[in-house]
Amino acid sequence: MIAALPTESVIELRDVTRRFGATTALDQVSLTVPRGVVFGLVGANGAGKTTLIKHLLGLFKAQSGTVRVLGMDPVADPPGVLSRIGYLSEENDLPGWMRVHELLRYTRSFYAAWDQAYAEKLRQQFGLDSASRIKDLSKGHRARAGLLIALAHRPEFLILDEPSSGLDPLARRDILGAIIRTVADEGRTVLFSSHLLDEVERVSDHVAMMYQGRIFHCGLLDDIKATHHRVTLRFPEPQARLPLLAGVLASEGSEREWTAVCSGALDEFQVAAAAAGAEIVERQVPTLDEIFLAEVAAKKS
Amino acid sequence: MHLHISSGNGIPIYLQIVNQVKYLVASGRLASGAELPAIRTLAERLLINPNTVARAYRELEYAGIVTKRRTAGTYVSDGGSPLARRERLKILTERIDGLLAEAHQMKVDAEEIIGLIRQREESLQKLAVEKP
Amino acid sequence: MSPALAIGWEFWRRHNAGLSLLLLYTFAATLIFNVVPIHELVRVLAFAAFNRFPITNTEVDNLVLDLSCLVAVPLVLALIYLIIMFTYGFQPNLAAKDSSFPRDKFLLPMSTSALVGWPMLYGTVSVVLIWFVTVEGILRPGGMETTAYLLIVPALLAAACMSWVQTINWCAVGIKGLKAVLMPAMLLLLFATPRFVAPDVHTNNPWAIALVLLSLIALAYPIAVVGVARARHGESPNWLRFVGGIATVARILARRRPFASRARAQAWLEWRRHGASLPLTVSRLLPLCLLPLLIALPAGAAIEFSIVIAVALPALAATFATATFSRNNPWSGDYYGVASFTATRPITSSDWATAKIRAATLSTLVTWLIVISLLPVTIALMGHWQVFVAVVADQIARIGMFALVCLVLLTWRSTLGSVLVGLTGRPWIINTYALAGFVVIGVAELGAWVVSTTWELDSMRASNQNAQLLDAILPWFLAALVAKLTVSVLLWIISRRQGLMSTHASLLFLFLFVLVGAGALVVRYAIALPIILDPKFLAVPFLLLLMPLNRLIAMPLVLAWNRHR
Repeated sequence: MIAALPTESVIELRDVTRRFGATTALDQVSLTVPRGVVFGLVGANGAGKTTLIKHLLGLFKAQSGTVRVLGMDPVADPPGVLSRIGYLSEENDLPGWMRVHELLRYTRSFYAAWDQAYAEKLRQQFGLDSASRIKDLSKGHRARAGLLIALAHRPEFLILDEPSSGLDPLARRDILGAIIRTVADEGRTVLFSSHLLDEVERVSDHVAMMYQGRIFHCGLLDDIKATHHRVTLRFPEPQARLPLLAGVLASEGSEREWTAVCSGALDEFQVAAAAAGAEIVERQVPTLDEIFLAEVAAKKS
Repeated sequence: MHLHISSGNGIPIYLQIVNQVKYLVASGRLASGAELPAIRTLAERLLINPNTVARAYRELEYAGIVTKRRTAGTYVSDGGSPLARRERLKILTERIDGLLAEAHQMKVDAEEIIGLIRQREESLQKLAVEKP
Repeated sequence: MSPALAIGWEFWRRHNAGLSLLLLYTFAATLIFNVVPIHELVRVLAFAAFNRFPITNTEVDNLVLDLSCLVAVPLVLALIYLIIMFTYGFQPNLAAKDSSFPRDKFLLPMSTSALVGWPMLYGTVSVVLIWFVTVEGILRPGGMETTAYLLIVPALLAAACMSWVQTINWCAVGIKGLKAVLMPAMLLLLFATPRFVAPDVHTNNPWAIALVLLSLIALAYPIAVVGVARARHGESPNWLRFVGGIATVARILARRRPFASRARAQAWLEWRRHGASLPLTVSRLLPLCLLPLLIALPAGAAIEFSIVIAVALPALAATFATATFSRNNPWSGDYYGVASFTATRPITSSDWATAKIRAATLSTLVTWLIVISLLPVTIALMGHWQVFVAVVADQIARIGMFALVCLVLLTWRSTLGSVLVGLTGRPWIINTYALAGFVVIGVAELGAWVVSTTWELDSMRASNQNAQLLDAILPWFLAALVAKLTVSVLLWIISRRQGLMSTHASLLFLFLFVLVGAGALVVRYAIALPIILDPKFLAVPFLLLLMPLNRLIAMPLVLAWNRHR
C-alpha cells in the first residue's frame, strides 16, 4: 500500500449540510483545518459539533457537500482514514464487559503503528488495572482508557469530542496533557470540541465557533482576541439601558457604569462612545468565554 | 522555574509568561546563564499550547533577556546590569503607576505618598536592625 | 394512585402493544369457540377441502380438538412472554452474577417486600388466569376432556415458573455463570415435580401436586425479598473471594499475543458480544419440551411432541432474537446494531460483516449441539429412555435426518436474518420483522396441521394428492430458485461496486452454496425418503432455497448502510 503523501490540510469540509427530519443540524458548513495545529471547536450543546465530528469519522454520510479527511473520503475508505486517526468519543461507548487488557489486545490488532511499549507506559501512567472491567471503572478512568487506545498508535490526527465533560480535574489534566504532547510532535494535528472555553483558550491555535449548525467565526485564536474588546463605560447620567453603539455585541451594567463586549476597530467605538457622552474607564482583552457568550447573545437578538 | 498562568484575567498567556520570566530574572531568582525549560516541557507543565510558549520565548529573546543557542536550548542572557536594571525599574514603574492611580482615586496626593514611603522605609530599617 | 396500582400501570404502559395483542387474541379465540358454531364451520370447511370425503362426526370432533390445541399454542407461548415481562425482561445476563432488578425502582419509597411482591403477584395471577381461560374457553369447548388435573397443575406450574424465574433473576449470586445453571435446573425440578409427587398421570388427583407447587411458590417470595433487599443495599457477593486464582488468571490472560488480523479480532468481539445469547436462550427454554410429558398422553406421542418442541426451539428463538435483544444500549450484552466503538475502528464493512456471520454461524452450531445433547439427557432423567430411543430410531428411518438438516439450515437462516434486521438499526424494520415472524409461524403451524390432518384422514388419497401437488410444485420451486439466484447476483454486483465484497468472501459464499447443494444430493440419495415426500428431487431445490445465500451477501451492504448514515 502506498503511503498517502502528507496533505496541506487535515480536514476539508465544503458546504456540508445535514438534516434530521425538520431540524437542520449542519447548515452549509465549510471548514479547513491545517496540519500541525490544535483546533478548538466551540459551541453550545446542540450547535452541531458532534454531528460535524461524526461526518469526519464516516459515521454520517454528507447529504450534500464533500468531506475529506487526510485527503480521503471517510465513507469510501474507512480503514484508510480511521487507521491514521485517534478518536475519543463523548459518550461511553467502550464495551462495559471488556477488561482493560482485552480492550488493548483487541484494539492493537487494528493499527499497524501501535506502539506496545508506549501503550504500557500510558496504562501505568493513567493508573489502569489490566484485570478490571471497563464498567467497574470510574468515569475518569474510562475516559483515560479511551484516551489510551486513541493515543497508543501515535495517530497523525487526534479527534476529541467533548473530552472533558463531566470529568474531575485530574482526568482533565491528563487529557490536556495528551493534546499538548500530540501537537508538540511535528506534523500531528488535534481537533477537539468543547464547551469549557477556558481550556480551549489555553491550548488552541485556531478556534471555530458554531451556533445552530453554522460556523460563524473561524480563525486564529490570537486574531479573535485581538478583534474583541471589553470596555467599561461611565455615563454622566444614569441610563436605563446602554444606547446602541457600533460594534457592541452584549452589555450589562446599571445606572452610570456599563460594561460591553464589542468587536471591530476600537477607535470607531471610542468615537461612538464619546458621541453618546460616555467615558471609557477601562479596556481589557475579554476571555474566550466572554467573546463567545457575547457573540451568541448578539445572534439571538 | 515556577510560573503561574491564569486563563481568565484578560492578559494574554504569552505575556504572562514574559512578565513572570522578566520578574524572576530581575529579582535574581533566575540567575544569568540558567537554562529555561524546553518549549515542549514548559507547555506540558503549564498545559498550554507550545506555540504560545514559543512566542513568549521569542519576545524574551527580542527584549534581550534570553538567548537561544541553536540546538542547546534557551538561556538567560548574561545580563549586563544596565539591561537588568532597566527591567527592574520598568517593573517598579508599573507598580508606582498603579499606586498613584489608586491614590488619586482615594484623594490622597503625591506628597503624602512620598512621606508614607519614607515612613515605611524607616520602620523596615528598624526591623532589619533589631533582628540579628 | 396507590403504589401497587402504579407498578401494575407501569407494566401495562411498557408493554401495551404486546398485552393488547394478547387480550385481543384471547378474546377472539374464546369467541370463536363459544359463540360461533365451530363444529358446523369445520364440517363445512373440511367438506370443501377434502371434497369427496364423508366427514363423520368423530372426524369433525377430532378436527375441532386439533384446532383448539393449535389455537391454544400461542397462548401457551404467551405465558413465556408474560414471564419475561414480569421479570422486567431478562437479557442473557444469566452469565452475570448481579441482580437484574431494575435499579431505578430502588429509589422509590416502597418497601422491598412490596417492590418484589406486587410483580410476583401480578405475574402469577396473570399466568393462572390465562391458563384458566385457555382451558375453559378454548380447550373444553373444543372437546378436550378437562379434568381438575388439566386445569390446576399446568396453571400452578406456570405460576411456579414465574415466581422462580423472577427469584433467580432478581437475586445476586456470588459466582459468574451460576445463574445459567440454576435457572434450567430449577425449571427442570419444577417440571419434574408432578411426576415425583404423583407418578401416575392418569389419576385425577391434582391436590397433592397443587400443594407442593403452592409451597414452592410461597418459598420463592421470601427468598426473592431477601435477594432484592441485598441488591438494594449494594451488596455484591463474591463467593470465590478466597480463591485468589481469578486475578492471577486474568493477569496471565493479559499477556496473550495480539490477534493475527483485524478480522480475527472482530470475530472475537462479535462472538463475545452476541455468540452466547442464542445458546443461552434455547437452553433456558428447553425445559418447555417436557410439557407434553405432563399431559395425559401415551409415552410415545408425548416423546414425539417433546422432540418436535425441542427441535423447533432454535429456529423460533433465532427469529425473535432481534425483537427481544436489539436494544440500543451499547453496553447491553446483545446490542445488535452498529456500535460506534467498532464503527470507528479501521476495519472494512466487509470484514466486519464476515466477523458477524462467523459469530452467528458458530452460535447456531453451538445451539444445536446443546439441543442434541441435552434433549436425550432430559428425557432420560424423566425415565423415558427406551421409548425415546425407539421413537428416534423410527423417525430417522423416515424423515428424521432430512428434517434435522432442514431445521439446522432454518435456524442458520433465522439467525442471519435476525442479525441482518438488527443491523439495519431502524426500529420500524425490527418491529415489522418480529410481527412478520409471528405471522409466518402461525401460517406455517396451520399449514403443518392441515398436511398432517390430511394424512390422518386418508393417507392413500392424501399421498396421491400429495404426489400431484408435489409435481405441480416442482416448477415453482425451480422458478423460486432462479429468482433467488438472480437476487443474489444483483446483490453481489451492487456489493462489489461499493467495494464491500472481496474476492475471498465471494468464493466463500459460492463454496457454501455448492456445499449445500451437494449435501442435498447426498441426503436425497443416501437417506431413503418416503416417495410421497419427494418424487422428483425436491430435496435439492428445497434445501438450496432454504440456504441463506442472500442474507450472507446482503450483510455487508446493510452494515455499511447503517454505519454511514
